[in-house]
Amino acid sequence: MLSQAVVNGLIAASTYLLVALGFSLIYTTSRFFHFAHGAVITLGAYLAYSINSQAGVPLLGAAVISVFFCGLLGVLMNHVVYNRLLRKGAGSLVLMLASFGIYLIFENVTTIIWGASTLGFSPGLPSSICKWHACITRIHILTLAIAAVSWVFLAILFARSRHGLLMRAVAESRELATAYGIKTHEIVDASFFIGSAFAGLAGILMAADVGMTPTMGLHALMMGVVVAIVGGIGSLRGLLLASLLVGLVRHLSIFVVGSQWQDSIVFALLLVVLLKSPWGFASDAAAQEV
Amino acid sequence: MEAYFYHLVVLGGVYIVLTQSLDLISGHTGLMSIAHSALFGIGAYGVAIFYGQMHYPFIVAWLIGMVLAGMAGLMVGLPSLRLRGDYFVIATFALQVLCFNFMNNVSNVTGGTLGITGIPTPWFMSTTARAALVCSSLALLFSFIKWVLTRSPFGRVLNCIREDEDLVMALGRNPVGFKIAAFMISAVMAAAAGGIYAAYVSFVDPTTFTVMDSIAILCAVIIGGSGSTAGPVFGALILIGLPEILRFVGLPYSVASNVRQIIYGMLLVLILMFRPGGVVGGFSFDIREHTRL
Repeated sequence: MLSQAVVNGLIAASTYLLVALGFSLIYTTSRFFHFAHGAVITLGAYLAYSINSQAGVPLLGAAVISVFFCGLLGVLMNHVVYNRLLRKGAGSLVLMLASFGIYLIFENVTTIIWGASTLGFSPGLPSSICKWHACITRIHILTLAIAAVSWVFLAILFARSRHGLLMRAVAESRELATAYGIKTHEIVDASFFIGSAFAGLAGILMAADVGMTPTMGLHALMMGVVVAIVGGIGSLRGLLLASLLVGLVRHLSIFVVGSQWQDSIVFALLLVVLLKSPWGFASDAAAQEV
Repeated sequence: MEAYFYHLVVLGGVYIVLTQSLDLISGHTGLMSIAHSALFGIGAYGVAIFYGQMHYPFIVAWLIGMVLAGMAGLMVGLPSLRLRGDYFVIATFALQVLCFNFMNNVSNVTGGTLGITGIPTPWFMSTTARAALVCSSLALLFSFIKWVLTRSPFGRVLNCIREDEDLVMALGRNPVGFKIAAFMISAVMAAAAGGIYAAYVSFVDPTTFTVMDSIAILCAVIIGGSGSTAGPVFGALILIGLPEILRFVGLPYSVASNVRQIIYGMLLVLILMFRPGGVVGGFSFDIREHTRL
C-alpha cells in the first residue's frame, strides 16, 4: 500500500516536473505567468487523440505530431497576443490577464468540440509489472523516463549550449540582451516552442494514463505552478526537488486525510512555503528578485 | 415579465457589489484575485448555514459570513502580499481551491455536492419587487462606500501602491499592511454580496463558486473598466446580460455556458489589446509599465 503510494507519487511528480519545466522556461525568458500553458496541456492530449483515432495515425506518430503542434501553438500565442501587447507597453500583469482570456477560450472550445466527458486512447488498460506490492504500467515507466530525459535535456541546454547561454542572457535582462544584438524575439519564441512542446507531452502522457477531460490542463498546470514556486522558478535543481516533494506529499497524504483533500494539502503546502521562504528551494540570486 | 425584470435587478445588484469589491483590489490596488467567487461563496454559505439551518437572525448570519471571508482574506494575504503581484494570484487560486474543497467535501457542515436547500426568504425579500429594491440599494450603498474609500487617504495609498510600491515605502507607509487591509475589505464586500445571493435564491451548492466563475468575474471587471465606479457596474451588466442574451438567441443549454466563457475570454483579450482602460475607460495598467521603463 505504502509502496504503491510512493510509486504513484513519483509518477505524478514526473508529470508535474514536465509541466513546471515548460512553465518556468517560458517564465524565465518572458517574465510573466503564462496560464494558457494549461490549455496547451489539454490540447496536446486531444490533438493526439484525434490524429490517432480519426486520422488513423499510430499513437506514437500522433503523439509526435501533436507535440510539434503544441510547440507551434505556444509560438502562435506569443505572436498573436503577447507580442502585440508587449509592443503597446504591457506589463506582466496585463500579459497574465490575457493568458487567462486565452485559457478560457481554449478550454471552452475544447469542451464544445470533444465534449466534457472523459476520453481515452484506444488500447485499453496497459499491462503492468508488479513488485513489492506496487504495480507500474508501461505508460508510467515511459512518463518517468521522459521526465528525466527532459530535465537532463534542459540542464544541458542551459549549461552547455550557446542557445542556452542566450536564453540565460534574455532571462537576466531583455533590454540588455537586445542592446547586445541578441535576437530576443527568436529566443523567446524558442522558449515558447520548447515549453509548449513539454506541455503537450505532459498532456499526452497523463491522458494515456487516466484519460482526458477539458479541465485536465488547468489542474496539471496548477500543480506545475506550485512546483515552480516551491522549487524557486528558474532553478532546475529546485524544480526537480519540488516536483518530488509535491508528488509525494499529494499521494502520501491519503494515509492521513481522504483523497478528496489532496489538492487542499498541496495548496496549503504552497501557502506555508510562501510564508516561510518565498523563493522556494532556489538559492541563486537570479531567482530571488521576487 | 415584471417578475423577470425584478429578478435581473436583484442579480444585477448582487453582482455590482461583487464586482465593486473585486475592483477595489484589482483596479485600485493592482492585485488580481481569482478567489472572488470563493469569497462570494463563503458569504453565501455563511447565510445558508447560520441563517438557513441554525436559524440565527439574518443579519447575524450575514455578518458571520463576512467575518469568515475577512479571515480567509487575511490567511491568504499574509503570506502572499509581501511578494510581487503574480504570487498573489497563485495564492488566491490556492484560496479558491481550499474553499471549494471545503464546500465540496465537508458534507456534514456544507451539505457536500448537494449543497444546502430551503433557505427561508428573509422578510425584506418576501416579494421580488422588495428584493429588487433591497439589492439595488445595497449596490448603491456599496458602490458609494467604495467611492468614498478610494477617495480617502487610505484609497490614495492603495492607488499609489498600484503605481509604484517602492514610492509608498519611501513615503513612510507600509504597503503590505495596506494591501492586506484592502484585500480583507474586498473579501468582506464579496461575502456581503454572497449572503444576499444565498437568501434570494434560497439554495447554495459548490458548483456556483468555481475557479471559472472567479476568472469570469475578473474578466468582467477588466472589460468594464478598472479603478472606476462605472466600470464594475458595466462588468456586472455583462455578467448578468450575456447569459440572458445567449438564452434569447436560442443556444442549446449544453453549449451556452461554454459560448459565454469564450466570449468573456475574447472580450478580455480584445479589450487588453485595443482599449486597455476597459469599456468605460478606467485605469489602464499599460501606461504604468510604460512610464516605468
